[in-house]
Amino acid sequence: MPILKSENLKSFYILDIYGKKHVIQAVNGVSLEVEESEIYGIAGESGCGKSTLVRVLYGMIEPPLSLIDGNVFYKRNGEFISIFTLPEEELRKLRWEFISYIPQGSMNILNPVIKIIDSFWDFIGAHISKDEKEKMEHSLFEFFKMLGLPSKTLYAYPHQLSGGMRQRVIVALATFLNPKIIIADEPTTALDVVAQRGVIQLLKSIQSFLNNTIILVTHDMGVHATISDRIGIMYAGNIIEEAKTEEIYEDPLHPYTQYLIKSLPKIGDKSYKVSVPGTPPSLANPPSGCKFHPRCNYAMEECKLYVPKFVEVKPKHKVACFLYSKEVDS
Amino acid sequence: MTDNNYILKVENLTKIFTLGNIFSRIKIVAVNNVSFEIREGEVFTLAGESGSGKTTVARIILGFHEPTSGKIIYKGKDLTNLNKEDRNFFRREVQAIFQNPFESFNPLRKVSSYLYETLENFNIARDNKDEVVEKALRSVGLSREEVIDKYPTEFSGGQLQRISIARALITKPSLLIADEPVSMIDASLRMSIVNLFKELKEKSNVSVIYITHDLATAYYISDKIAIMFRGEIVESGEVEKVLMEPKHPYTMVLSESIPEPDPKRRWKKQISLSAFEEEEFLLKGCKFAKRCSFVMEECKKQEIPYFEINGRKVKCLLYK
Ligand SMILES: Nc1ncnc2c1ncn2[C@@H]1O[C@H](COP(=O)(O)OP(=O)(O)OP(=O)(O)O)[C@@H](O)[C@H]1O
Ligand SMILES: Nc1ncnc2c1ncn2[C@@H]1O[C@H](COP(=O)(O)OP(=O)(O)O)[C@@H](O)[C@H]1O
Ligand code: SF4
Ligand code: SF4
Ligand SMILES: [Mg+2]
Ligand SMILES: [Mg+2]
Repeated sequence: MPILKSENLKSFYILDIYGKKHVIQAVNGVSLEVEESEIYGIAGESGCGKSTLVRVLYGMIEPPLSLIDGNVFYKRNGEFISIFTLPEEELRKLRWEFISYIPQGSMNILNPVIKIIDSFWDFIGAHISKDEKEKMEHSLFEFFKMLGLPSKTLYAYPHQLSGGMRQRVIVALATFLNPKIIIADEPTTALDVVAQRGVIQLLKSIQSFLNNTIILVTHDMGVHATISDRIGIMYAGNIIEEAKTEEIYEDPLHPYTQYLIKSLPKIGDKSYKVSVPGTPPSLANPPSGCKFHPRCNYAMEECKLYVPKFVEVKPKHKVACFLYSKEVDS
Repeated sequence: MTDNNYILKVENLTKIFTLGNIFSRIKIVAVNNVSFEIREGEVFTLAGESGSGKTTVARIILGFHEPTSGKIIYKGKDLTNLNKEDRNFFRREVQAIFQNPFESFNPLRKVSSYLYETLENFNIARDNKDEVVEKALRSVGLSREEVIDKYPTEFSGGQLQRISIARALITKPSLLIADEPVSMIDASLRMSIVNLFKELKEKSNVSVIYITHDLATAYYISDKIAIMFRGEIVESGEVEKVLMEPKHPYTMVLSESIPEPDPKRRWKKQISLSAFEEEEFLLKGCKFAKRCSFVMEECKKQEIPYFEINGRKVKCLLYK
């Protein structure tokens, strides 16, 4: 059962540069369904629109970003609600309690001159009474204990913690109110492997305690292999392939995904690895037809003219490529 | 002029930073008694978690920091007292590539101006500048035409990083120091940079100090590796040995933490992590003692020496 879904989601950055309009097609027709209690991974190269997509899924559309088309639904109390029609007040309540978002680079959002716990009181904003605060602080302690995090970190200043610990504290705080859905955008990218493992371990144990749904954005295919249940591969504003994690690694279908998987280095393997040829497309002026065609070894005439439809070509395995289906996206 | 083909020798390098504010003042031994050598045409990886001192070692070699103590010998010459001529020679021979390509270029300056500036600075190719620039860019898979007249924001991170490598290659260096050159670059472009280093080593016999915490690419391109922890090298040797059969408990944790791109081999064990890194810097004996699952009483009391086993050096009392 999906808990979150998007339909033909389109969201562009509209910039005004010296009176000239520039449109960056960052999210360009994404339809996806995230199942309850799964870890849904989103992968893709830098600038392909991953962060923009999750920001839109969270309903955080602020200029210059604007919603062009499509919809996002959350399933709450057995019913799908469109987040774009919700009153602001409702939406605010949904955040933290229903869906929690850990933005890219959030390690650096803590106020450096106050203790971490005070940053937390600032974030949850609302005026809470002293009584409530005490209760909350107590359960925060319990929560940290359950996750194996030292509670003294709550009273430290950000600079006293290593990057990895800071990130784990942020993840813990963001999930403390037990949201049904957690969106984490590159939570481990700036970290070394040991600290990265710590954050992943933590996400996993939060999920096993609280049984929530996680949407995890990272371009690190090693991290996806370790934690994601399903993966959506994004390219130039679209999801171009989606399948179970094992399937993506064992039988990648889209030529871009194939390059991505083949180029991954592994310890114990010194064989020559090639990278994806060519350069990432510009989202201000993307290629016609299949956006991967200028870099694709299999490109055919039709690839330059038409956009391949994102269709299921094997059970639970979707791809947008004319090699597998001739269906055209309208 | 070189003994045993060593191009660079680092001997007992130490760097102490004094940190502090009005409330407290502490000394951080960012680099503690670090020694290693690099041969011609060798790729040497310095790996380890962030804050372990990798960048500080690189910056000392490049002359951006004075070492507190220790020696650096490049092609037989002591870098701490070079005359002007030798210094110019060194600046030409040793080139650096940094982590964030967007920080290496001024957004208001055309990218190609950096290449031409390097030609000027080293008085290279007075009459055929365009040709030399073209050649350097070709070697990183770009062309002068693609780059000329463009500003940094018009390139992707991977392209910019390749341009900074092209700039570094203009002086025909013998040693490249690359400090986390791929950590800002995603997997699909990462290999194009890493393959460049491989090619330089294989075709032009260039030596490379590759600083990274990405152990999979380190395995892929390097000959030797040194693992740093809290300012010290805890294990060093051939990359196959160190990463496939790690001996130091920290190297074991490190190699177990590499997220393998293979969903069939997910982690099972939980690992323990440090909360306050300053505490570890200040430990007397082994700095890994707080997290080590083999810790013994004696580990906390003494400076740990290096032990040789199977052609590698390990700083751990388990191998006494
Ligand atoms: N605030 C903004 N204003 C204008 N353009 C933007 C803005 N934020 C992102 N973009 C552009 O939108 C596109 C998608 O960016 P996004 O941040 O979603 O990519 P990403 O896949 O998350 O990349 P990364 O892996 O580097 O985080 C890029 O072309 C980017 O330059
Ligand atoms: N210029 C400096 N002043 C004070 N402390 C520094 C300076 N540069 C690095 N350090 C400290 O030295 C230690 C090692 O840092 P660094 O060499 O940057 O590690 P790495 O490159 O392995 O991440 C860290 O604790 C860092 O905070
Ligand atoms: S649709 Fe055509 S260009 Fe696009 S990936 Fe498939 S074969 Fe390549
Ligand atoms: S010296 Fe002792 S504490 Fe340090 S790594 Fe070896 S066994 Fe562990
Ligand atoms: Mg992003
Ligand atoms: Mg560094």
